[in-house]
Amino acid sequence: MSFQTKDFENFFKLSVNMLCIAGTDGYFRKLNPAFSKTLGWTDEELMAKPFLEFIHPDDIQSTLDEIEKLSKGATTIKFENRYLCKNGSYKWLSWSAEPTPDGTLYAAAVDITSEKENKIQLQENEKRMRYLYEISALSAVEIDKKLPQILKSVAMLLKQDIGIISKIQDSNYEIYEAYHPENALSKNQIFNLGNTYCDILIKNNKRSLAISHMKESKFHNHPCYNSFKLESYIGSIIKVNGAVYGTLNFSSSNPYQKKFNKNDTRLVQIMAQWIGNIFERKEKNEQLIRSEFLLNEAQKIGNIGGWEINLKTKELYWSDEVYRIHEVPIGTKVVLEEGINFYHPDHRPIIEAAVKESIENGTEYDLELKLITAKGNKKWVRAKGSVVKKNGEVVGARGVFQDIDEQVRAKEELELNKERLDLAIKGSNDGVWDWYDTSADEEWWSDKFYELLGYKRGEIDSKFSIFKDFLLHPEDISATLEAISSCQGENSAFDVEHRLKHKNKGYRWYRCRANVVKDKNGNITRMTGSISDIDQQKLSQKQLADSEEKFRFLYEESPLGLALCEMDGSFIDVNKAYLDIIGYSSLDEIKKLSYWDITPKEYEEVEIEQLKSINTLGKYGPFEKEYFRKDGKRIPVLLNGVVVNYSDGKKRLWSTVEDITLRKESENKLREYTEELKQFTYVATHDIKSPITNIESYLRFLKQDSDIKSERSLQSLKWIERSIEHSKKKILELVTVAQARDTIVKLEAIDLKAKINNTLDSLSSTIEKNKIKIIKTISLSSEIISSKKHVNAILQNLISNAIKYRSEQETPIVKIEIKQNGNMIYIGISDNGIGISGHNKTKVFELFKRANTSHEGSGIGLYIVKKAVEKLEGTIEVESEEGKGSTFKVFLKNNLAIEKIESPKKEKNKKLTF
Amino acid sequence: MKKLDCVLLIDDDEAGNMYNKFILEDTGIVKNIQITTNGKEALDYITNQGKYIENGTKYPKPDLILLDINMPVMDGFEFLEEYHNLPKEIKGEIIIVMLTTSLLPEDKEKATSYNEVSDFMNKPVTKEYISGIMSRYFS
Repeated sequence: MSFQTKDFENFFKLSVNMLCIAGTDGYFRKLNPAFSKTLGWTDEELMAKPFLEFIHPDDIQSTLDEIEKLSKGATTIKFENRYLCKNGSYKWLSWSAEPTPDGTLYAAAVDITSEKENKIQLQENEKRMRYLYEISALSAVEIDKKLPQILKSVAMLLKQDIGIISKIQDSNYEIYEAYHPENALSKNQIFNLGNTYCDILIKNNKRSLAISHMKESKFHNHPCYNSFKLESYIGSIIKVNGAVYGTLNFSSSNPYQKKFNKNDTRLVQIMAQWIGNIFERKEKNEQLIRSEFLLNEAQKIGNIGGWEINLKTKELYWSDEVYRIHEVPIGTKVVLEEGINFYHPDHRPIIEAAVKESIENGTEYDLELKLITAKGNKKWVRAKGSVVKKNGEVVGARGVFQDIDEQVRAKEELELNKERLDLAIKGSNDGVWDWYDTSADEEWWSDKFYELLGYKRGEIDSKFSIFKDFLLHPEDISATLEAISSCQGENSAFDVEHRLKHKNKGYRWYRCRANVVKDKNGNITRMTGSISDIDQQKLSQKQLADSEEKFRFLYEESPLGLALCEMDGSFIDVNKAYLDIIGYSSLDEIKKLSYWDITPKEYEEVEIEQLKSINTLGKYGPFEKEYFRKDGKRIPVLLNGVVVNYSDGKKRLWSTVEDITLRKESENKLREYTEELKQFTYVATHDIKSPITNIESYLRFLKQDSDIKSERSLQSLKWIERSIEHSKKKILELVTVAQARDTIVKLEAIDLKAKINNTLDSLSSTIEKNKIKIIKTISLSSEIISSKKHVNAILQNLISNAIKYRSEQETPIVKIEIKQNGNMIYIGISDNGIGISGHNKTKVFELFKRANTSHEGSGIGLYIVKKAVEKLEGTIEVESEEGKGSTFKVFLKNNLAIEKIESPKKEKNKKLTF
Repeated sequence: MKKLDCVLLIDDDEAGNMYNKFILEDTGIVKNIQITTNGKEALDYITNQGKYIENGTKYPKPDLILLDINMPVMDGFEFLEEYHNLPKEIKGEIIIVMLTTSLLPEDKEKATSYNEVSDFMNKPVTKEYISGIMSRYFS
């Protein structure tokens, strides 16, 4: 049997299978009618473009791979790809093909679209069943956790962008849970129901709605479409306890090409129903918990009661507490209307409406209302009710009834307090803050809080994170956080000082105090507190601390002993130097002692004197005494003290104590040395003078002896006599010097004018002999008070010097000038004599220093003058020019103020004698 | 001129005592010149006067004392203190003249503050001075 070409042609045309021949150029060469029948294109259309252009883009690569295999000689069996139809849809084709050596393709295809879709549908159904199973298996507890993932999965399954579970109340459409690819929707977000497609469901009382392409539907004018341009929507009502709770819906901004089918709608319906069931279970759980709680509360507070009404019998049951609240005898029969009449006339309509609505719609009510009791007392009550259903039918209602009068009053009080608090906050210098939920970041800050930090409200957010990370000084963060966490548990005191960054002034110190609210586990749930600017305080504290430190250092390191005593002599504090002085090692040791324990008894009298001074002048000393050291030895000290008034109102005594052992020793040594020197001087002069006196005495016998005649002997006697005179003079000088040091100042009235005249008289022979001109300028109002001996020494030496060193060339003039100026006496002695050369001026007052050798001088005169001036606490100066003369200026005190003139005791001092 | 029975010299300086003895002898106003070298010896002499026998003779009671200030054992001022406390019958009325080489006015002041001291004289003593004493106190 053989087939003709025509026969093939017939088969080709008649075959329900799609048959084709394609060339190596990628174009169809020949197609059978099944092609145009299946795909809707004409043969011409199909052959005008390379066949790859009709293949679904996702399938092009696999198709090319398959052609590659064919070109290598493999046979294609059941290769599947999608071909574009003229209506825009794709059809799944299953191909078989044979290659020919020249590259031409002979291929046959079967339309497997419906099989393919069924298979996909099957897979999807499987998925749906899985989701539904998952939802149905959800417990009330975990539903909230799982819902987001389920919404996402189902949205993807339905090729929708958005999945929402909404809660609908009146015109509010609240997001209960949502899936949005860009997270643009969040829980509790509220929309106007009218702006959602779910509005259509509610308005038309439909269970579900599915629209694949909104633009082409009758709802294309819906506000939701206008607002959100959502092209596809599928949604279903969720009912809880028979009432509309909200919706489960999915939507997308693209039309759903595949178009929603029955299965999709059923899926959404079943899901919504299950979600409703779960919500119901959940609510029941919560109700159970709540009623248990209420029962507990009722037991606890005692003023909550229960009521129940049977709508069929109109019987109203009140618990004892409800009777008590109404002040109606327990057990009295009450009908519903009577019950309602107990409410305040203003509130009666509210309860009536609520009860009516509750019975009609099965809604629950929870109201706070004013009640007038049977006894006419007004009180606030909380009335809560819900219907009782039996087989879906409302058979009654029941609820709780609570006396909340105190609560309301407390609330009112609270409101009032809050108002007061607000006022207080506004008036306070402290900034106030409230971290009302410590699990969140938000805080509330008062205007003053902002002001203290230099900000205005709104410039920075009142957040804990802002406080911690922006305002708080980095070094203070850990301490502040520690202080917060230390408030957990028992401790509730939060009081820290930290630095906050002021807007303009940099970091400043603030004190932050807070009240802490804690849950039953002791965890902080809320903190409310204040801040105050303590920068100035801190600064002064710091300054105080600095000066305290400086003072401490001085106190501790002072070589001077310092002691703080109570007025009774007990020690409070002493420094190290003080301890060293009295030989103790610690303050504790000395604290057991009193000041009197370390004071030798013989100083009691002196101490009493000092105590008098403390009481009258607030200070004492300086005075010298001795302390007992710990080892029993005595130590000489110099004391000085002052009474200080302390802020606690007490007076205390600060004393400085100086160990004067060394000073005493050197004083004693000096005294000994001076004494020795004095003695040496006196003894020396005496021991030298005595034999000289004897020589002088015996010389007289020799001089009277007429037997001595030789010239040499007579000359010898003369020179012996001269030497004796010289020695005597020297001895006299020594004595005068020693005397000058020791002469006691004895203040008495002195007629200075007479003194000068006496002095001049004693020098009269020299004055007359040398024709010396004396000019006296004396202006004195009265006698002066000074020491005669010293004044004598001054006048005698200066006047005799002026005469001694007179001019040889011209008439010697000696000017004596006395002036009185208040308490000062000026004595000026001038001459026109030989003067003192410059380098000698400073030497003239030194002992045994003579400025001039041409004249006979001892070199002690001016030394004695200087000593006398010093003893009288005066000063002396010299002005002199060589060859022109000298002026000695003496300034002495006129001791007029001294009333008591000391008279020296007649001393029996053998050492002062010869 | 009246002749004094006894002059007591009190001085540790032997040369001084000898010179004073020469002067007194030259003036011829005294029969007996007794020498002691410090206050202690002098007190002994005075308290035991009349008891000491030398060549069978009692030491006579002095009419005049020439007293030095600076002496070992007991100086002039100490002697005066002790002398002051002696019973009157022993002291009698002795003229005491202080002789000194001291140049200090204080010493003179101090010396004259004793009632027992009649005069104060800087050494050396002269015949003229002794004559003056004699005419002032013993004429």
